Amino acid sequence: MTESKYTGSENILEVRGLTKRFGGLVAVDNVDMTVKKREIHSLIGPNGAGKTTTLSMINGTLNPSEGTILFDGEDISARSTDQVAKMGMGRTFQNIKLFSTLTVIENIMLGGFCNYTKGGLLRFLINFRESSRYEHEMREKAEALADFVGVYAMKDKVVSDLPYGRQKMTELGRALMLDPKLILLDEPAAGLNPTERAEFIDIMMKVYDGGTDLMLIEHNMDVVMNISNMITVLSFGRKIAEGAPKEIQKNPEVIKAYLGSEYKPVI
Amino acid sequence: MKNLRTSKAISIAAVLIVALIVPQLGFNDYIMTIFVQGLLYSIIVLGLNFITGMTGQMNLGNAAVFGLGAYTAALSTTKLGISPWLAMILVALMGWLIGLVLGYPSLRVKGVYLTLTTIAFNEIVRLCLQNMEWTGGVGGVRSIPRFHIFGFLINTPVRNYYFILIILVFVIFITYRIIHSKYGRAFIAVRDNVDAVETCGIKLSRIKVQAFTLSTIYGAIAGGLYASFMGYVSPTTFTMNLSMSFAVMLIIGGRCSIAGCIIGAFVISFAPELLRFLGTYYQFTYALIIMLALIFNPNGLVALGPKIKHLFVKIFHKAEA
Ligand SMILES: Nc1ncnc2c1ncn2[C@@H]1O[C@H](COP(=O)(O)OP(=O)(O)OP(=O)(O)O)[C@@H](O)[C@H]1O
Ligand SMILES: [Mg+2]
Repeated sequence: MTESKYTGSENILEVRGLTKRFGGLVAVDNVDMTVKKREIHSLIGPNGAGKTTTLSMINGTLNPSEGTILFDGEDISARSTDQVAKMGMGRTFQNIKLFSTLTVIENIMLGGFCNYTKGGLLRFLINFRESSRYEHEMREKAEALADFVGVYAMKDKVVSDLPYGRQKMTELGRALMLDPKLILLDEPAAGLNPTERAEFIDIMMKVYDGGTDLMLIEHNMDVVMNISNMITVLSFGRKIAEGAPKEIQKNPEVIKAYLGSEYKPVI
Repeated sequence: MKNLRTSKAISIAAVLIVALIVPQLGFNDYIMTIFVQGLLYSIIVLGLNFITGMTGQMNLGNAAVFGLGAYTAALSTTKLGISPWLAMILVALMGWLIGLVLGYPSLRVKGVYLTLTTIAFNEIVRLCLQNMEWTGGVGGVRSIPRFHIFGFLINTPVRNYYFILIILVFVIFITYRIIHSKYGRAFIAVRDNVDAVETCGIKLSRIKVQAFTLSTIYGAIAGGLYASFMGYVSPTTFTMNLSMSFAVMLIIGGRCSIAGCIIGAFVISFAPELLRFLGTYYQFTYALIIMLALIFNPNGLVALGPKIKHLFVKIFHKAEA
């Protein structure tokens, strides 16, 4: 399965002249970037390079100071996060953002809030059969996803009682509940042990094979070099390089600004 | 899981039976009035739970909402001459209107500032009710008509008790459905991690206003029932102090729990009676108990149940060993 499940533009994401200023600080400076469909795109760079800020502008959490963002051909520069989410853009966070007092399954179910509904709260209250059917469908789907990301056994536990790695999986499950066309992952492998990391990569690849495109920020070079087709490198808010993993590994500027020495894959 | 459900069903049935028997126990009208108050306050606290308990925003304007509901019923029945039943529809609309008019601006203020805004709202409403001519000024509104139901006139505390008990059961049913739905989960999500709410495709402003509006509709309906129950309304009832009491009921009873809201409403309603023997020390003791309760049992009275059970199990094990 290499066909995208959605049609439209040939690029899932196009970013033009994206800039974010915080007061005097230019966190993201005139960045152009194109994420093609059926591509795993990585965004790398040193701490404070503006990676998270870029992601936040793409999904509408931050308003860009300048620039345009096209998602599957549609201009989403001025849209709010919930609108962008409804269009099929999922996101996970660098420092996990789960609903701490809710259970694992409730967290995952919330990810599908907008998909299982017709009308508002009043209709929900009046139309019993419809609302219980939606609730049931939503729970079934969430349970399937909990199983998929490996948290089914603890689905009724309060999410903050889970170990870090399982929380990350839950967050991914919640993002998948949207049926996203694209998921933005902010440092998905950070803080995971090697076993968990391998498991996470495995799951990400399955998500990708299911037709969802991925864009990730990652510091772990094994992850980046192994799974991405395209890499964009940011440093001090500027794009300093872009290309396939092989080119990026050899790029002298990237080595100087970020990698330190030439990346040697561990086999 | 099955066991849990049966034991829950049994306790609900037991509570309902006790609730039905209460008026037959020979309490005088004064005590019955406090019971009715407990029922009315339960409705308000269940509403407050949506905004303060679930989305986590402290609201100290609920006495004003209660008051506006009461005055809507009082004025529409006495001045326009409509039936109390029809007035209740106006009351619910009033609650909905307050929710929208107050909810959207309140999105712009957060935390303590929001709390202060709600306090200001409470005082503005109280002062308006007190000083405007057509609301009856300090004297309030008198001779508010009673409800008629199947030929019964709901005019005694006992009749009001049964009447409002039925309404409360209905309110609990609706509340239960909301809490255990995606809306209830979304309300809690706002409190737990506001940054992640919108990435789930939930419009934050909308969900906050929904929680807010639910609380104002509940508050107004309780007010409308109160007006007909008392037969008169006076602006001096709807003070900031009363708003504080509602918040205390919620927190003492237990946030996010239906049982907690109701326990809190009754405990605080009866507190002046139970502590009456303290005389002038009443205020002091009351405040002290609340303070200690908040420090040592922040999750409310409902959280005591499992704690006591745990203690018994421990003692039992010790005795066995
Ligand atoms: N809300 C904000 N207000 C002011 N400055 C900010 C804000 N958010 C980020 N910054 C600054 O913008 C710059 C880029 O931050 P960003 O979080 O995007 O970096 P990053 O590439 O994700 O770094 P890391 O690898 O450490 O996660 C940093 O200098 C940061 O301090
Ligand atoms: Mg970052």
